[in-house]
Amino acid sequence: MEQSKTPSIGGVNSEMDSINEEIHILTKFIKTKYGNHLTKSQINNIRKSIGHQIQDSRDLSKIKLNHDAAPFSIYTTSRKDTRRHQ
Amino acid sequence: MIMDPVFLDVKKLGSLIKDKELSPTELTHTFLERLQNIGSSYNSTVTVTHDLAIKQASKAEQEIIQGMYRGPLHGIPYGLKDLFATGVDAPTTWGAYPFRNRTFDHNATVVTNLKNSGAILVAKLAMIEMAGGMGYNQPNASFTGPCRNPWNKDRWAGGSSSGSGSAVGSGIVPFAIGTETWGSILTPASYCGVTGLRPTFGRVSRYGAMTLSWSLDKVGPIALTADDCGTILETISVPDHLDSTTPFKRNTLLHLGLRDKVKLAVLKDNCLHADKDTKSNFLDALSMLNTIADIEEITLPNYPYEAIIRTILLSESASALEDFTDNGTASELTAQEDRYGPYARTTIAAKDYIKALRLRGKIAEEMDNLMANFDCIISPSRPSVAPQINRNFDAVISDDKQDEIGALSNLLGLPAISVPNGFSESSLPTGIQFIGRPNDENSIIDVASWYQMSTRWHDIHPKHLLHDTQN
Repeated sequence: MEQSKTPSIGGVNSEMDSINEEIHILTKFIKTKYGNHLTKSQINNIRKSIGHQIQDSRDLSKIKLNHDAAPFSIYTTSRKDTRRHQ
Repeated sequence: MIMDPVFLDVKKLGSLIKDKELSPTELTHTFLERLQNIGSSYNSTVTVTHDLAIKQASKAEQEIIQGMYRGPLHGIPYGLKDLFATGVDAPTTWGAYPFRNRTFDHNATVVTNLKNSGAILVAKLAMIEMAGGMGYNQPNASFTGPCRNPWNKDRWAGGSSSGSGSAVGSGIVPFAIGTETWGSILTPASYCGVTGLRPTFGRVSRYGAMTLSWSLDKVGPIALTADDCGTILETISVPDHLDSTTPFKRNTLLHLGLRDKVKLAVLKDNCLHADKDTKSNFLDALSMLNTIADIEEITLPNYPYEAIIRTILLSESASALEDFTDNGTASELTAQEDRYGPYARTTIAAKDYIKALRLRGKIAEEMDNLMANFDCIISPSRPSVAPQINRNFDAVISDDKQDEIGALSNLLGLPAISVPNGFSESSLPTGIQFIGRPNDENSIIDVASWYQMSTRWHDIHPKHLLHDTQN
């Protein structure tokens, strides 16, 4: 296993390194694919947005689900009708 | 015309038209004149459909004279958020400069349903470009300019159904149709001091409307009263084979009234992020509601609601707007931040989107169980009054002012209605929202109607926009 380049204190630095690395790779992808539509300053702003998306991803991954929890479609479910007045 | 029709609700207008005391043609001329005089100074209109309106009004008048009365919207003028296709009758711009001249070859289902009801389309109304889905951070994010608030021109009308809220609040249309993916009906309704209904997901067909997010977009009315919103919903909630998310039966406005003791839930720390006036007005509303309801404090299940809905919205919009993104059309948008907004979202991982969908199912189950005990959840519609029109949102809204209840209720497609509940010291309206169980619009309309009839906040309109004092 590859070691983190930065010594980790309680895992914080290595986590930040990992997020920054991810931001760098995804921004490079955007630059390669859409660079002709974007200015340098716009790419810098996209970098920030990617950072927020990675944070959202980490928030989602903290929640553990069992495999019974299938992707939910709110219009095909047999969702209960809980109306009080029928 | 024997009565000034401006700021009369749809129910009253419909009754006068039915009794032949009000002419649809004269009524339409009144609102067309106001649209021309007032609409442009508030940036609330995109296209005034003058000729079409005159034609539809004349037809309605003839039908009513001949005894062919179609129902409560017959002969009533209305405005439409400019993301619904209106064939070649008017451009459909999505609020965006690149689409300023575009027309479609078909009508949106909601347009067809309103036409069949005899309602008269008088204007396509302003909106935030691309329904606000590009990540705008300022009121000036529409090619028609920042939409101004009827109560104070230096304040924003809210978004993304900006023109729909502003036009009803300034009395230039009796009602309007908007859409909400996350906050776009309730926010302008609250900021403009009018009533906005976000129906259950799937209740109203989205066929012919701009798609931002297939599993989050909803269509709903903005009007002066909750009762009017129910009447309009009844007309537009027709099952439609062109939108597979509309399997539900048409919503019938039952007028059940408050049959037994109403049970309301209020969030613990419900005013945590609210400003002083919003909090004060919400607490006053709670006291009023306490006379007819058991109010119980609840805590929501602990999930990162904003991260979940954002992941779904951004992923689905990345697909819905793929061509728009690939060909660089975004560079022609008005707000600087909207020009690069669509790109970052193309990197969201499929596993994150799927995880967000899986979480939605789990949360829906937990919320169904929690809400089974209540008629609705109540909360301030927005934590603060309308912001200034020339400032970026991140300069006035701190990161801790989260919209947990808005994120949750839109994520699950729950119906909600926002009604005015008072004013701030700066004379700007605040709102209270009633959030219901899926498909239970009647309960939230009943409670909101009772509140409106008991408080009459909805009868207060900007003095400078009353018919005889308009400028």
